[in-house]
Amino acid sequence: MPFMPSPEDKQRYRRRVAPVLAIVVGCHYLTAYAFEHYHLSRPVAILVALLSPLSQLLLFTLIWQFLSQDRDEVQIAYRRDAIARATAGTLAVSVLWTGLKEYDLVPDLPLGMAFPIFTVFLLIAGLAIRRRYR
Amino acid sequence: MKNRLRVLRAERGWSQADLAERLEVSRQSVNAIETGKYDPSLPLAFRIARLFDARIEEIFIDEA
Repeated sequence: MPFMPSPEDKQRYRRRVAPVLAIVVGCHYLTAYAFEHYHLSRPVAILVALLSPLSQLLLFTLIWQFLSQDRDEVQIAYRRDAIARATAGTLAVSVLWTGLKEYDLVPDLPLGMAFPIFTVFLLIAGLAIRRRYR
Repeated sequence: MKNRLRVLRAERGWSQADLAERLEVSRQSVNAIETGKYDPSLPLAFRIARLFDARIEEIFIDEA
């Protein structure tokens, strides 16, 4: 008896996530490029700024949907733990960076760096959690 | 929380992979539960109990 998610589910997940991931990365860099190279009016700036978080929201919705379909609760717990730690790490970096920026000790953090930082933290957290529970 | 999962599994001659297949979870999950690194939810604990035809408290030992 196969346990959820089946290979088909995983394939479906990858098929859904891969294009959304490309959209997320594209939106990040499009937003960063627009802010760097154009002087946007306030309403347009708000719309452009929304592109990136909305695409991330879509990605997280897909990941959440996949986790809710998975019957292997231990694996779900690992993934949720990793996502929580990665979010905490990203928040910590952004708060620290903002604090240092106040005193001009660091340069501006490019907008497009948020997602790569989260991804790095997610990879590190995933490896650490797997090591601990192995 | 301690448990008798490894003993019960060994009595039946099942590998972790066999038990994982019966419980519809991954082998890593069986290992995490056996070694006490993860305490299963009530639905999974009931599935385990049904599989071994035992009561939950006969498999999972409350150390409190």
